[in-house]
Amino acid sequence: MLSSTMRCLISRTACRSQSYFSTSSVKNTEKIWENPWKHAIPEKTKTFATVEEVPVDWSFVERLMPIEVVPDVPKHDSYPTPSGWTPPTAAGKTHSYYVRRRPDHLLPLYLERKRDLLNEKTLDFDYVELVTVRNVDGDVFACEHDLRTYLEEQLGHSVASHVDELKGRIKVKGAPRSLIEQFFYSKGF
Amino acid sequence: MLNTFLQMLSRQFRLLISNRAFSAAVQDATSSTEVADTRRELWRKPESPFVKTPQAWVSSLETVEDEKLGLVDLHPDIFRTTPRIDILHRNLTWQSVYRNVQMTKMLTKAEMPGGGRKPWPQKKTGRAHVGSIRAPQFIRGGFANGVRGPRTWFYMLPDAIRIQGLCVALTLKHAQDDLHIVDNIQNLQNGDSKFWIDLCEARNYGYSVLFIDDCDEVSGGLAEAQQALPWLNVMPVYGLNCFSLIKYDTVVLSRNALDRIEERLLTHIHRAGPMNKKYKYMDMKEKILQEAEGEEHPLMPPVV
Repeated sequence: MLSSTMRCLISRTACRSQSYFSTSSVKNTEKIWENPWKHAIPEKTKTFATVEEVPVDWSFVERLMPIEVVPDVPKHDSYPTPSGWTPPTAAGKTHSYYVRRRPDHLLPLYLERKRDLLNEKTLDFDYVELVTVRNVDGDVFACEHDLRTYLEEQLGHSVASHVDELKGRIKVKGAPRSLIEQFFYSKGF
Repeated sequence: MLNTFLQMLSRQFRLLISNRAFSAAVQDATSSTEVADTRRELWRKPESPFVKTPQAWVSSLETVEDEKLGLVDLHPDIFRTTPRIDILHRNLTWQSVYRNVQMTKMLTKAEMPGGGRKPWPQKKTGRAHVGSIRAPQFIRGGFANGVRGPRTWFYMLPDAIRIQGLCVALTLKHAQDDLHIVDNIQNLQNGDSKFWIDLCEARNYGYSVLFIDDCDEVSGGLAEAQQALPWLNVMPVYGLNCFSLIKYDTVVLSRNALDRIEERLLTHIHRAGPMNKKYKYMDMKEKILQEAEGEEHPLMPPVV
């Protein structure tokens, strides 16, 4: 039954100008295995629409596109800006050390919270907050000395610090990041 | 013996003299147009007074002797970074490890053929109580805690580490005088392998040389030479990696490649947004599945 209907279908389609089942290859005398590349991928017929270019002001759309590279800082009227940001000044180049800004024009100060010893009274772990200063060029030890004296003067207690000269980093324990930021701004970095 | 030694000595002496002459000539010609041409404006050069701008000679590959065409400034963020060997090591380890796949799969007792029948009765035979001849205590039995592959060691290093690794490798190469800049490596006249051996010998390039160009197709003399000489290789800029930079004794960058490398690395260093980008399969899925779209295997025809 099924085969007879199939045969009907084939005979009906065969009399049409186009074959129903396959591409043009069946009509040709060429066998499939002679050029398998031709039959593996269906023939692509491209229909291109006619294109007309309309002048549109895309500047407002471009403004919404994501930023690829951190842009240069726009010119401000006065510093520090309302957010407290200041650009590096010429005074920063007079010291025996230099702190480079991050690519996004901020100071390279990173806050890190680490677990300290177990507090035996409360049986909770204490946490310490360490501030890392990165990208220190030149004499890192001089930078650390100046920073520590400034912090101890401001805070009134001693501050622990650690210098990694190869990486140009200083770690400070026991001082808030804002105070360290203030020190580097005052130095002109 | 003595003769050859004398020859070598004289050659070294000649080289020394010629080098000095060249350097003097370049110093004289700093104001001329040819040398000023190779000086360039560096994008977002760090303002730190402690960072010096590294420089490199630009030479030509047309002659055996090292003819210097001028000096070129290199970006200090890339060619004068802190020599972080640990970062370089992480990159090299990652490169060797991330592609490892263990395909071994030891069969368990369930996966071994047969063994469904109890080999002998549970009791009264004097033998061990066993349920299957594929039990792990049997020879030719299955494995209890075997290697169950496929197992992969794939991981991605953070972008920042990979970028910094490239910068460190380039810095080390430059610091060790193993980084050379040439004006052009495309369509060179001489493809004779003797010429290239002499060239590398005269310029003290060392055991192996890697040429890097902006374009991923190389033609001319260098293409012939790299066919003939196994220690001489060519690579496009997008193939640049820490392992190859360290593997080859000398790295020779073309002038275009230098520009391209600096541009790509600096855009990534100054990239907006977070540096630790997440690599999700869903984001890459379409690209991965379409990867073999235009591929035609030369030997295997497609299944019709």
